[in-house]
Amino acid sequence: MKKIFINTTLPDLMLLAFDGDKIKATIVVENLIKKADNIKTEFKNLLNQAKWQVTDIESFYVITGPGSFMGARVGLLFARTICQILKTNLYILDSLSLIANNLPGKYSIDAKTGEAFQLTIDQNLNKEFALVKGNSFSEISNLKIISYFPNIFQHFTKVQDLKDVEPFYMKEPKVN
Amino acid sequence: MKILAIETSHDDTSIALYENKKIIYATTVSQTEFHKKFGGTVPEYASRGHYTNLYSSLEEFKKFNLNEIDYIALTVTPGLIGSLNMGKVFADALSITLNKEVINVNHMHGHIFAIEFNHSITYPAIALIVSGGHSQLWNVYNPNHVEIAGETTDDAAGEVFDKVARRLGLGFPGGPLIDRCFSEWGGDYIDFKIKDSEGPSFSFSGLKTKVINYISNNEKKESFNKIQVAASFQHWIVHYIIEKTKSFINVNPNVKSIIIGGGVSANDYLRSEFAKLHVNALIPEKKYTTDNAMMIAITADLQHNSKNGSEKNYQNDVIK
Repeated sequence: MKKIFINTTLPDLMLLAFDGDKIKATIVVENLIKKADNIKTEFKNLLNQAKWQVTDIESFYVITGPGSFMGARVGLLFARTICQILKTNLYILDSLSLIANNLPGKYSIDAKTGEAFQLTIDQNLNKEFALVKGNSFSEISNLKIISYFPNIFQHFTKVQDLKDVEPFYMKEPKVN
Repeated sequence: MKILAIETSHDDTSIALYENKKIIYATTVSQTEFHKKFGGTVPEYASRGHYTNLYSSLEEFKKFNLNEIDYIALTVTPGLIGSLNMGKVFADALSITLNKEVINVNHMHGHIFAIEFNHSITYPAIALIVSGGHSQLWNVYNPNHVEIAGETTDDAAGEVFDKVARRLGLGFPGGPLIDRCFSEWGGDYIDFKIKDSEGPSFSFSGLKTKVINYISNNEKKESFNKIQVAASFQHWIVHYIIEKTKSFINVNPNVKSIIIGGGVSANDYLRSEFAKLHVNALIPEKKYTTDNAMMIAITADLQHNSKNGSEKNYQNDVIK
Protein backbone atom coordinates (compact mmCIF):
# COMPACT_ATOMS: atom_id res chain seq x y z
CA MET A 1 0.00 0.00 0.00
CA LYS A 2 1.82 3.12 -1.24
CA LYS A 3 0.90 6.23 0.73
CA ILE A 4 1.98 9.86 0.51
CA PHE A 5 1.76 12.24 3.46
CA ILE A 6 1.66 16.00 2.68
CA ASN A 7 1.79 18.86 5.15
CA THR A 8 2.07 22.44 3.88
CA THR A 9 0.14 24.07 6.73
CA LEU A 10 3.06 24.60 9.14
CA PRO A 11 6.26 26.61 8.48
CA ASP A 12 8.07 23.60 6.98
CA LEU A 13 7.05 21.66 3.88
CA MET A 14 6.89 17.96 4.75
CA LEU A 15 6.39 15.13 2.26
CA LEU A 16 6.69 11.48 3.27
CA ALA A 17 6.31 8.31 1.23
CA PHE A 18 5.28 5.06 2.93
CA ASP A 19 5.19 1.57 1.56
CA GLY A 20 2.75 -0.01 3.96
CA ASP A 21 3.93 1.14 7.38
CA LYS A 22 7.54 1.54 6.30
CA ILE A 23 8.90 4.96 5.47
CA LYS A 24 10.38 4.94 1.98
CA ALA A 25 11.29 8.60 1.32
CA THR A 26 11.32 11.88 3.24
CA ILE A 27 11.39 15.49 2.12
CA VAL A 28 11.45 18.29 4.69
CA VAL A 29 12.13 21.88 3.58
CA GLU A 30 12.41 24.10 6.63
CA ASN A 31 10.75 27.52 6.82
CA LEU A 32 9.59 27.43 3.24
CA ILE A 33 7.39 30.44 2.54
CA LYS A 34 6.77 29.83 -1.16
CA LYS A 35 5.28 26.37 -0.88
CA ALA A 36 3.13 26.86 -3.99
CA ASP A 37 6.26 27.44 -6.06
CA ASN A 38 8.06 24.38 -4.73
CA ILE A 39 5.57 21.61 -4.13
CA LYS A 40 5.82 20.17 -7.66
CA THR A 41 9.63 19.94 -7.56
CA GLU A 42 9.71 18.51 -4.06
CA PHE A 43 6.95 16.03 -4.86
CA LYS A 44 8.93 14.87 -7.90
CA ASN A 45 12.03 14.53 -5.70
CA LEU A 46 10.01 12.40 -3.28
CA LEU A 47 8.80 10.12 -6.07
CA ASN A 48 12.36 9.82 -7.41
CA GLN A 49 13.65 8.87 -3.95
CA ALA A 50 10.91 6.28 -3.58
CA LYS A 51 11.34 5.16 -7.21
CA TRP A 52 7.61 5.49 -7.77
CA GLN A 53 5.38 6.90 -10.50
CA VAL A 54 2.44 9.08 -9.51
CA THR A 55 0.14 6.27 -10.70
CA ASP A 56 1.69 3.92 -8.10
CA ILE A 57 0.25 5.95 -5.23
CA GLU A 58 -2.82 4.41 -3.64
CA SER A 59 -3.60 7.05 -1.01
CA PHE A 60 -2.77 10.62 -0.08
CA TYR A 61 -2.81 11.67 3.59
CA VAL A 62 -3.06 15.45 3.72
CA ILE A 63 -3.09 17.98 6.56
CA THR A 64 -5.85 20.55 5.99
CA GLY A 65 -4.94 23.32 8.47
CA PRO A 66 -5.24 25.44 10.47
CA GLY A 67 -1.99 27.27 9.80
CA SER A 68 -1.33 29.83 7.10
CA PHE A 69 -4.33 30.33 4.81
CA MET A 70 -2.25 29.63 1.72
CA GLY A 71 -0.49 26.66 3.32
CA ALA A 72 -3.84 25.09 4.15
CA ARG A 73 -4.77 25.17 0.47
CA VAL A 74 -1.51 24.23 -1.28
CA GLY A 75 -1.09 20.61 -0.19
CA LEU A 76 -4.80 19.90 -0.34
CA LEU A 77 -5.33 21.40 -3.81
CA PHE A 78 -2.27 19.59 -5.13
CA ALA A 79 -3.38 16.19 -3.80
CA ARG A 80 -7.08 16.73 -4.57
CA THR A 81 -6.29 17.49 -8.23
CA ILE A 82 -4.22 14.32 -8.62
CA CYS A 83 -6.96 12.31 -6.88
CA GLN A 84 -9.60 13.88 -9.12
CA ILE A 85 -7.87 12.59 -12.27
CA LEU A 86 -6.39 9.32 -11.04
CA LYS A 87 -9.13 8.41 -8.54
CA THR A 88 -6.53 7.98 -5.80
CA ASN A 89 -7.85 7.80 -2.22
CA LEU A 90 -7.62 10.95 -0.12
CA TYR A 91 -7.48 11.02 3.69
CA ILE A 92 -7.40 14.20 5.78
CA LEU A 93 -6.50 15.34 9.29
CA ASP A 94 -6.21 18.79 10.89
CA SER A 95 -2.79 20.16 11.85
CA LEU A 96 -3.57 20.42 15.59
CA SER A 97 -4.54 16.75 15.81
CA LEU A 98 -1.29 15.91 14.03
CA ILE A 99 0.75 17.83 16.60
CA ALA A 100 -1.29 16.30 19.40
CA ASN A 101 -0.77 12.78 18.07
CA ASN A 102 -4.37 12.43 19.24
CA LEU A 103 -3.38 12.43 22.93
CA PRO A 104 -5.20 14.41 25.67
CA GLY A 105 -3.90 17.92 26.30
CA LYS A 106 -4.02 21.48 25.01
CA TYR A 107 -2.24 22.34 21.77
CA SER A 108 -1.86 25.61 19.91
CA ILE A 109 -0.47 27.02 16.66
CA ASP A 110 0.32 30.63 15.83
CA ALA A 111 -2.69 32.27 14.15
CA LYS A 112 -0.80 35.62 13.85
CA THR A 113 -1.90 39.00 15.20
CA GLY A 114 -1.76 37.78 18.81
CA GLU A 115 -4.08 34.83 18.31
CA ALA A 116 -3.67 31.07 18.48
CA PHE A 117 -5.51 28.14 16.92
CA GLN A 118 -6.15 25.88 19.88
CA LEU A 119 -7.23 22.27 20.28
CA THR A 120 -8.20 20.75 23.62
CA ILE A 121 -8.45 16.95 23.80
CA ASP A 122 -10.05 15.60 27.00
CA GLN A 123 -9.46 12.20 28.61
CA ASN A 124 -12.29 10.71 26.54
CA LEU A 125 -10.53 12.03 23.43
CA ASN A 126 -13.29 14.58 22.75
CA LYS A 127 -11.89 17.48 20.73
CA GLU A 128 -12.66 21.18 21.01
CA PHE A 129 -11.20 23.71 18.58
CA ALA A 130 -11.02 27.43 19.40
CA LEU A 131 -9.41 30.62 18.18
CA VAL A 132 -7.98 32.23 21.33
CA LYS A 133 -5.84 35.21 22.33
CA GLY A 134 -2.31 34.22 23.12
CA ASN A 135 1.30 34.06 22.08
CA SER A 136 2.34 30.71 23.46
CA PHE A 137 2.40 27.84 21.01
CA SER A 138 3.08 24.10 21.06
CA GLU A 139 6.56 23.02 20.12
CA ILE A 140 6.58 21.48 16.67
CA SER A 141 9.40 19.11 15.82
CA ASN A 142 9.61 17.35 12.46
CA LEU A 143 11.35 14.36 14.03
CA LYS A 144 8.56 14.09 16.58
CA ILE A 145 5.89 14.28 13.88
CA ILE A 146 7.65 11.61 11.83
CA SER A 147 7.81 9.41 14.93
CA TYR A 148 3.96 9.46 15.13
CA PHE A 149 3.84 7.37 11.97
CA PRO A 150 2.48 4.86 11.10
CA ASN A 151 0.03 4.93 14.06
CA ILE A 152 -1.22 8.42 13.21
CA PHE A 153 -2.64 7.13 9.90
CA GLN A 154 -5.62 5.66 11.78
CA HIS A 155 -6.74 9.14 12.85
CA PHE A 156 -7.13 10.43 9.31
CA THR A 157 -10.63 10.52 7.79
CA LYS A 158 -11.28 9.16 4.32
CA VAL A 159 -12.78 11.73 1.93
CA GLN A 160 -15.91 10.22 0.35
CA ASP A 161 -16.55 13.02 -2.14
CA LEU A 162 -13.70 15.28 -3.29
CA LYS A 163 -16.03 18.21 -3.87
CA ASP A 164 -16.66 18.40 -0.11
CA VAL A 165 -13.05 18.59 1.05
CA GLU A 166 -12.18 22.09 2.25
CA PRO A 167 -9.12 23.56 4.00
CA PHE A 168 -9.63 24.02 7.75
CA TYR A 169 -9.11 27.80 8.04
CA MET A 170 -10.64 28.42 11.51
CA LYS A 171 -10.46 32.15 10.82
CA GLU A 172 -11.86 34.69 8.37
CA PRO A 173 -9.58 37.14 6.59
CA LYS A 174 -9.49 40.82 7.53
CA VAL A 175 -11.50 42.92 5.07
CA ASN A 176 -10.59 46.59 4.78
CA MET B 1 -1.35 21.94 -30.85
CA LYS B 2 -3.85 20.96 -28.15
CA ILE B 3 -3.62 23.01 -24.96
CA LEU B 4 -5.39 23.00 -21.61
CA ALA B 5 -5.19 26.58 -20.34
CA ILE B 6 -5.72 27.87 -16.81
CA GLU B 7 -6.35 31.47 -15.78
CA THR B 8 -6.77 32.47 -12.11
CA SER B 9 -5.03 35.84 -11.96
CA HIS B 10 -7.88 37.70 -10.26
CA ASP B 11 -11.25 36.34 -9.15
CA ASP B 12 -12.41 34.42 -12.24
CA THR B 13 -11.56 30.72 -12.41
CA SER B 14 -11.24 29.92 -16.08
CA ILE B 15 -10.15 26.77 -17.93
CA ALA B 16 -10.13 26.21 -21.68
CA LEU B 17 -9.37 23.30 -23.96
CA TYR B 18 -7.98 24.64 -27.22
CA GLU B 19 -6.66 23.38 -30.52
CA ASN B 20 -5.36 25.41 -33.48
CA LYS B 21 -7.12 28.71 -32.77
CA LYS B 22 -10.38 26.95 -31.89
CA ILE B 23 -11.92 26.50 -28.46
CA ILE B 24 -13.05 22.93 -27.88
CA TYR B 25 -14.53 23.73 -24.48
CA ALA B 26 -14.20 26.56 -21.97
CA THR B 27 -15.61 27.40 -18.60
CA THR B 28 -15.29 30.50 -16.43
CA VAL B 29 -16.62 30.69 -12.88
CA SER B 30 -17.05 34.29 -11.75
CA GLN B 31 -16.88 35.46 -8.14
CA THR B 32 -18.25 38.94 -8.90
CA GLU B 33 -21.54 38.34 -7.06
CA PHE B 34 -19.73 37.17 -3.92
CA HIS B 35 -17.34 40.14 -3.82
CA LYS B 36 -20.09 42.69 -4.59
CA LYS B 37 -20.89 43.16 -0.89
CA PHE B 38 -17.28 44.25 -0.23
CA GLY B 39 -17.30 46.80 -3.08
CA GLY B 40 -14.31 45.05 -4.65
CA THR B 41 -12.33 41.83 -4.65
CA VAL B 42 -11.03 40.54 -1.31
CA PRO B 43 -7.82 38.67 -2.25
CA GLU B 44 -8.05 35.94 0.40
CA TYR B 45 -11.67 35.15 -0.49
CA ALA B 46 -10.68 35.13 -4.17
CA SER B 47 -8.06 32.44 -3.40
CA ARG B 48 -10.61 30.43 -1.42
CA GLY B 49 -13.02 30.71 -4.31
CA HIS B 50 -10.42 29.43 -6.78
CA TYR B 51 -9.74 26.42 -4.54
CA THR B 52 -13.44 25.49 -4.68
CA ASN B 53 -14.09 26.43 -8.31
CA LEU B 54 -11.08 24.57 -9.72
CA TYR B 55 -12.68 21.31 -8.61
CA SER B 56 -16.03 21.89 -10.33
CA SER B 57 -14.31 23.31 -13.42
CA LEU B 58 -12.02 20.29 -13.82
CA GLU B 59 -15.00 17.96 -13.46
CA GLU B 60 -16.41 19.47 -16.67
CA PHE B 61 -13.22 18.60 -18.56
CA LYS B 62 -13.17 14.96 -17.51
CA LYS B 63 -15.40 14.14 -20.51
CA PHE B 64 -12.34 14.82 -22.71
CA ASN B 65 -9.26 12.66 -22.91
CA LEU B 66 -6.83 15.01 -21.21
CA ASN B 67 -3.94 12.68 -21.98
CA GLU B 68 -4.24 13.92 -25.58
CA ILE B 69 -3.21 17.49 -24.77
CA ASP B 70 0.27 18.65 -25.77
CA TYR B 71 0.74 21.32 -23.12
CA ILE B 72 -0.78 23.02 -20.12
CA ALA B 73 -0.78 26.83 -20.35
CA LEU B 74 -0.86 28.89 -17.19
CA THR B 75 -1.19 32.56 -16.31
CA VAL B 76 1.78 33.32 -14.08
CA THR B 77 1.79 37.11 -13.85
CA PRO B 78 0.59 39.76 -13.13
CA GLY B 79 -2.26 39.25 -10.71
CA LEU B 80 -3.25 38.60 -7.12
CA ILE B 81 -0.48 36.44 -5.72
CA GLY B 82 -2.80 34.07 -3.83
CA SER B 83 -5.01 33.61 -6.88
CA LEU B 84 -2.02 32.99 -9.16
CA ASN B 85 -0.71 30.44 -6.67
CA MET B 86 -3.96 28.46 -6.87
CA GLY B 87 -3.61 28.24 -10.64
CA LYS B 88 0.03 27.22 -10.31
CA VAL B 89 -0.55 24.43 -7.79
CA PHE B 90 -3.46 23.15 -9.88
CA ALA B 91 -1.43 23.26 -13.12
CA ASP B 92 1.55 21.59 -11.45
CA ALA B 93 -0.61 18.76 -10.12
CA LEU B 94 -2.08 18.26 -13.62
CA SER B 95 1.39 18.45 -15.13
CA ILE B 96 2.57 15.58 -12.94
CA THR B 97 -0.61 13.56 -13.40
CA LEU B 98 -0.78 13.95 -17.20
CA ASN B 99 2.99 14.15 -17.70
CA LYS B 100 2.72 17.40 -19.70
CA GLU B 101 4.88 20.51 -19.66
CA VAL B 102 3.52 23.83 -18.39
CA ILE B 103 3.89 26.91 -20.62
CA ASN B 104 3.95 30.10 -18.55
CA VAL B 105 1.96 32.99 -20.01
CA ASN B 106 1.89 36.63 -19.02
CA HIS B 107 -1.72 37.68 -18.42
CA MET B 108 -1.26 40.99 -20.27
CA HIS B 109 0.09 39.18 -23.32
CA GLY B 110 -3.11 37.13 -23.17
CA HIS B 111 -5.19 40.31 -23.46
CA ILE B 112 -3.09 41.41 -26.45
CA PHE B 113 -3.18 38.15 -28.40
CA ALA B 114 -6.84 37.29 -27.67
CA ILE B 115 -7.54 39.24 -30.85
CA GLU B 116 -6.04 36.36 -32.86
CA PHE B 117 -9.29 34.40 -32.42
CA ASN B 118 -10.91 36.87 -34.79
CA HIS B 119 -8.15 38.73 -36.67
CA SER B 120 -4.52 38.15 -37.59
CA ILE B 121 -2.28 40.87 -36.29
CA THR B 122 -0.15 42.64 -38.87
CA TYR B 123 3.12 43.70 -37.26
CA PRO B 124 4.36 46.03 -35.95
CA ALA B 125 1.26 46.77 -33.94
CA ILE B 126 0.37 48.69 -30.83
CA ALA B 127 -2.03 47.52 -28.14
CA LEU B 128 -4.22 49.40 -25.70
CA ILE B 129 -5.03 47.20 -22.70
CA VAL B 130 -7.54 48.64 -20.24
CA SER B 131 -8.97 46.62 -17.37
CA GLY B 132 -9.77 46.69 -13.66
CA GLY B 133 -6.11 46.29 -12.77
CA HIS B 134 -4.23 47.78 -15.72
CA SER B 135 -4.18 50.59 -18.27
CA GLN B 136 -1.29 50.16 -20.66
CA LEU B 137 0.00 50.93 -24.13
CA TRP B 138 2.24 48.31 -25.76
CA ASN B 139 4.47 48.01 -28.78
CA VAL B 140 3.82 44.61 -30.33
CA TYR B 141 6.49 43.34 -32.74
CA ASN B 142 5.71 39.60 -32.74
CA PRO B 143 4.26 37.10 -30.22
CA ASN B 144 7.58 36.89 -28.38
CA HIS B 145 8.56 40.52 -28.65
CA VAL B 146 6.22 42.92 -26.92
CA GLU B 147 7.25 45.97 -24.95
CA ILE B 148 5.24 48.03 -22.56
CA ALA B 149 5.46 51.71 -23.54
CA GLY B 150 3.36 53.30 -20.83
CA GLU B 151 0.89 52.50 -18.09
CA THR B 152 -1.17 54.18 -15.45
CA THR B 153 0.70 55.96 -12.70
CA ASP B 154 -2.25 55.66 -10.30
CA ASP B 155 -5.65 53.96 -10.69
CA ALA B 156 -6.49 51.62 -13.54
CA ALA B 157 -9.35 52.68 -15.82
CA GLY B 158 -11.65 49.88 -14.61
CA GLU B 159 -10.91 50.77 -11.01
CA VAL B 160 -12.09 54.34 -11.61
CA PHE B 161 -15.29 53.06 -13.23
CA ASP B 162 -15.89 51.01 -10.05
CA LYS B 163 -15.15 53.91 -7.71
CA VAL B 164 -17.39 56.36 -9.54
CA ALA B 165 -20.19 53.78 -9.77
CA ARG B 166 -19.89 53.07 -6.05
CA ARG B 167 -20.00 56.78 -5.19
CA LEU B 168 -23.11 57.17 -7.34
CA GLY B 169 -24.70 54.14 -5.67
CA LEU B 170 -25.00 52.30 -9.00
CA GLY B 171 -23.42 49.04 -7.81
CA PHE B 172 -20.50 46.80 -8.75
CA PRO B 173 -18.85 46.21 -11.18
CA GLY B 174 -19.06 49.78 -12.38
CA GLY B 175 -18.15 49.43 -16.08
CA PRO B 176 -21.35 47.92 -17.52
CA LEU B 177 -23.57 50.01 -15.20
CA ILE B 178 -21.97 53.28 -16.27
CA ASP B 179 -22.03 52.19 -19.92
CA ARG B 180 -25.79 51.66 -19.55
CA CYS B 181 -26.22 55.18 -18.10
CA PHE B 182 -24.20 56.54 -21.03
CA SER B 183 -26.48 54.95 -23.62
CA GLU B 184 -29.58 56.17 -21.74
CA TRP B 185 -28.37 59.76 -21.51
CA GLY B 186 -29.13 62.08 -24.42
CA GLY B 187 -28.29 65.49 -22.93
CA ASP B 188 -25.21 67.63 -22.34
CA TYR B 189 -22.10 66.39 -20.59
CA ILE B 190 -20.74 67.98 -17.44
CA ASP B 191 -17.23 69.27 -18.09
CA PHE B 192 -14.87 66.73 -16.46
CA LYS B 193 -12.14 67.29 -19.00
CA ILE B 194 -8.65 66.81 -17.60
CA LYS B 195 -5.29 68.05 -18.81
CA ASP B 196 -3.38 65.56 -20.91
CA SER B 197 0.06 64.57 -19.70
CA GLU B 198 3.11 63.97 -21.90
CA GLY B 199 4.02 60.50 -23.16
CA PRO B 200 2.14 57.20 -23.23
CA SER B 201 1.49 56.94 -19.46
CA PHE B 202 -1.99 57.34 -18.03
CA SER B 203 -3.21 59.12 -14.90
CA PHE B 204 -6.84 58.79 -13.90
CA SER B 205 -6.75 60.25 -10.40
CA GLY B 206 -7.43 63.82 -11.56
CA LEU B 207 -10.59 62.79 -13.41
CA LYS B 208 -11.70 60.60 -10.50
CA THR B 209 -11.25 63.46 -8.02
CA LYS B 210 -13.11 65.89 -10.29
CA VAL B 211 -16.11 63.56 -10.55
CA ILE B 212 -16.16 62.61 -6.84
CA ASN B 213 -15.89 66.28 -5.82
CA TYR B 214 -18.70 67.19 -8.22
CA ILE B 215 -20.91 64.51 -6.66
CA SER B 216 -20.10 65.67 -3.10
CA ASN B 217 -20.84 69.32 -3.95
CA ASN B 218 -24.01 68.73 -5.94
CA GLU B 219 -25.76 65.54 -4.83
CA LYS B 220 -28.19 67.36 -2.53
CA LYS B 221 -29.28 69.80 -5.25
CA GLU B 222 -32.53 69.17 -7.06
CA SER B 223 -30.83 69.49 -10.43
CA PHE B 224 -28.40 66.63 -9.63
CA ASN B 225 -28.81 63.79 -12.10
CA LYS B 226 -26.64 60.74 -11.52
CA ILE B 227 -27.28 59.38 -15.00
CA GLN B 228 -25.82 62.61 -16.37
CA VAL B 229 -22.80 62.35 -14.03
CA ALA B 230 -22.15 58.73 -15.02
CA ALA B 231 -22.56 59.50 -18.73
CA SER B 232 -20.29 62.55 -18.48
CA PHE B 233 -17.65 60.56 -16.63
CA GLN B 234 -17.70 57.90 -19.35
CA HIS B 235 -17.56 60.52 -22.09
CA TRP B 236 -14.44 62.13 -20.62
CA ILE B 237 -12.57 58.98 -19.58
CA VAL B 238 -13.02 57.53 -23.07
CA HIS B 239 -11.99 60.87 -24.57
CA TYR B 240 -8.81 60.80 -22.46
CA ILE B 241 -7.95 57.16 -23.34
CA ILE B 242 -8.58 57.76 -27.03
CA GLU B 243 -6.49 60.96 -27.10
CA LYS B 244 -3.62 59.12 -25.39
CA THR B 245 -3.83 56.29 -27.91
CA LYS B 246 -3.99 58.74 -30.80
CA SER B 247 -0.80 60.47 -29.60
CA PHE B 248 0.90 57.09 -29.26
CA ILE B 249 -0.06 56.16 -32.82
CA ASN B 250 1.31 59.50 -34.01
CA VAL B 251 4.75 58.75 -32.56
CA ASN B 252 4.62 55.23 -34.07
CA PRO B 253 3.58 56.03 -37.63
CA ASN B 254 4.73 52.65 -38.99
CA VAL B 255 2.21 50.57 -37.05
CA LYS B 256 0.19 48.33 -39.31
CA SER B 257 -2.55 47.48 -36.84
CA ILE B 258 -3.85 48.59 -33.45
CA ILE B 259 -5.35 46.24 -30.88
CA ILE B 260 -7.61 46.85 -27.90
CA GLY B 261 -8.12 44.39 -25.03
CA GLY B 262 -8.95 44.01 -21.36
CA GLY B 263 -12.26 44.19 -19.51
CA VAL B 264 -12.83 47.90 -20.13
CA SER B 265 -12.60 47.24 -23.88
CA ALA B 266 -16.08 45.71 -23.60
CA ASN B 267 -17.32 49.30 -23.23
CA ASP B 268 -19.38 50.10 -26.34
CA TYR B 269 -18.42 53.77 -26.54
CA LEU B 270 -14.70 53.00 -26.19
CA ARG B 271 -14.96 50.32 -28.88
CA SER B 272 -16.68 52.66 -31.32
CA GLU B 273 -14.16 55.46 -30.73
CA PHE B 274 -11.20 53.08 -30.94
CA ALA B 275 -12.45 51.78 -34.30
CA LYS B 276 -12.03 55.28 -35.75
CA LEU B 277 -8.33 55.49 -34.88
CA HIS B 278 -6.81 53.27 -37.56
CA VAL B 279 -7.76 51.43 -40.73
CA ASN B 280 -6.66 48.19 -38.99
CA ALA B 281 -8.23 48.75 -35.59
CA LEU B 282 -8.66 45.22 -34.21
CA ILE B 283 -11.41 44.81 -31.62
CA PRO B 284 -11.99 41.43 -29.95
CA GLU B 285 -15.34 39.78 -29.39
CA LYS B 286 -16.63 40.76 -25.96
CA LYS B 287 -16.23 37.22 -24.62
CA TYR B 288 -12.46 37.56 -25.02
CA THR B 289 -12.17 40.93 -23.26
CA THR B 290 -12.58 39.85 -19.64
CA ASP B 291 -10.13 37.50 -17.92
CA ASN B 292 -10.39 34.09 -19.60
CA ALA B 293 -8.30 31.01 -20.21
CA MET B 294 -9.01 31.07 -23.96
CA MET B 295 -6.67 34.03 -24.42
CA ILE B 296 -4.01 32.24 -22.37
CA ALA B 297 -4.28 29.20 -24.64
CA ILE B 298 -3.92 31.11 -27.91
CA THR B 299 -1.02 33.17 -26.50
CA ALA B 300 0.80 30.02 -25.38
CA ASP B 301 0.28 28.57 -28.84
CA LEU B 302 1.52 31.70 -30.66
CA GLN B 303 4.50 32.21 -28.35
CA HIS B 304 5.47 28.56 -28.38
CA ASN B 305 5.28 28.40 -32.17
CA SER B 306 7.10 31.70 -32.55
CA LYS B 307 10.11 30.61 -30.50
CA ASN B 308 10.83 29.07 -27.12
CA GLY B 309 7.80 30.51 -25.39
CA SER B 310 7.87 27.72 -22.87
CA GLU B 311 11.26 28.81 -21.62
CA LYS B 312 10.06 32.22 -20.55
CA ASN B 313 9.98 32.53 -16.82
CA TYR B 314 8.01 35.48 -15.54
CA GLN B 315 8.27 36.72 -11.98
CA ASN B 316 4.98 37.10 -10.18
CA ASP B 317 3.81 40.68 -9.88
CA VAL B 318 1.33 41.53 -7.18
CA ILE B 319 -1.73 43.70 -7.57
CA LYS B 320 -2.30 45.32 -4.21
